[in-house]
Amino acid sequence: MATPAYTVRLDAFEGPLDLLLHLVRSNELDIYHLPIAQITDQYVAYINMFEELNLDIAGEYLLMAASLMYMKSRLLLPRDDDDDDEEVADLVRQLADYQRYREAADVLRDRLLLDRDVFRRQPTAPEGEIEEAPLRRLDQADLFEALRRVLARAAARRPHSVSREEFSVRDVVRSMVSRLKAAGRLEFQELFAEDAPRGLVIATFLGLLEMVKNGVIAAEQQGRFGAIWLRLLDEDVDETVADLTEMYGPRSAAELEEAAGLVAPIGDDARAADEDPGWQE
Amino acid sequence: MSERETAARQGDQASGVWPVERLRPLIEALLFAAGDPLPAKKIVEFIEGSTIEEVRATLTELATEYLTRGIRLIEVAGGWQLRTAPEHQRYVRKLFRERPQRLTRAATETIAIIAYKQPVTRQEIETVRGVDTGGVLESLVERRLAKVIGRKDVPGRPLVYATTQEFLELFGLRNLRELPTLPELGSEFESMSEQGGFSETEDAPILPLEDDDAAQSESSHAGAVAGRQDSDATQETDD
Repeated sequence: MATPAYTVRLDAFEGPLDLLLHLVRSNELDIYHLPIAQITDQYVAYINMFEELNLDIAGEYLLMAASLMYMKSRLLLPRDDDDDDEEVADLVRQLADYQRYREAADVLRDRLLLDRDVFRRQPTAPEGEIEEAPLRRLDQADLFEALRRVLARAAARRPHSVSREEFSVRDVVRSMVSRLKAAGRLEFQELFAEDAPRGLVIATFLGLLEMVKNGVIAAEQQGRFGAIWLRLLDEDVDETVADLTEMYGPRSAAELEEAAGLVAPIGDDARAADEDPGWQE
Repeated sequence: MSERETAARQGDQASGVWPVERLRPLIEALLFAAGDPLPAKKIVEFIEGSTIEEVRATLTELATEYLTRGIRLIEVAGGWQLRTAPEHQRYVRKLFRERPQRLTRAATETIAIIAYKQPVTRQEIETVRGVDTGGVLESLVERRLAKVIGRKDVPGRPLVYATTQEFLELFGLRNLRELPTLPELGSEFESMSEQGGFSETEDAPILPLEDDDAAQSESSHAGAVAGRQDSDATQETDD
């Protein structure tokens, strides 16, 4: 994750490579025959200017300044032969590579962008015609993004409290299936009551993932940011559900979160969890 | 339009239940109602007795017809979609209260790197850009332009990212193969260059997400992760 200390933006440049590229271009230099001494002086001059302007400079800029100065100093030393300087070659390669992706990005930006240059219809599916509507089948990664939002909302709403409430995936799955049988379909958000404890949210989500994975429930989304709808793929699901729920017992919220990978297990690496699936016999 | 006639004849041989003058407006109606890119294959499924050849020929013909209208029929993200013609952009935009979400330079750079190097780790992206990319990456995932497709089988098992259907839609690309060719490194450089767009394959295999990961036991398509790397490209190239 981004370390906040690094996010202070020097708006004009995207980083040291961007600044270097700017210097190369404004001086009409050949990127493949980079005059290290000249570029170092200019780069350092820029950094000094930023400091004078009281701009907080990200560490990457200073690191680059240091390695440029090192390269420049090496060039001043007598050398046995004209061995290519490894560091300089690396820098040139990095700069050239960065430039390629910059150009690729420019080409992408110049395309006819959806919702900027061209527009599409936003489909509104007629109620009850859900099967015919253009739904996109979601995978588990998509669902995860949805869960993240639910959890973020929950976290914003409630002060943190430590509890050891026990929630059973088994019970949650059973109630999910019976709700789906009764309603036909449910919106993803409806699964999670406004004030549901975190542990229950996790248990519900894990249950849903299992059901989706086993093809009992389909999760579908309308359009790009539309509602996520859940429906039973098969009316006769009792047996599958029984099999599935056998795997889970009642577990604490903390254990479930760990199982779901939502918190890193403390003082443990992922490998250990790998070898001991524990709850999944 | 001999192509059209050939296709129609082929259609006739296969089934021949749909005369051109009925198929054309029918497909147009489907495209209008769908909104999302509609794969030709899907259209064949919807229209009983139609063949992929005649559907494709009709789509091409419709696209040509639309060239003189305010709407265009374009091929995008593995399907066909009606979109407004770009020259009316200024006026169409007035329909919407919200300004279009701008892609920052950092975001465009990052999504370009992902597009060409996928599947790619955050570390690999940062090596190219030379700056921390965590925040940008997170916002790209949130906007669904990029997504996590697995973990790389190297120490630390970092997450690997790939582009999405939405990425193709945003940039109006049919598939990943339609990405503009990445500019070549200078010729002096070829000996050093180890990178060449798609040909570059990192040797470490990509692992599916596991149960202990983000609870994303990668379901039925777990085994297909290798294939998913370019699923956007292969999925519905033209059908």
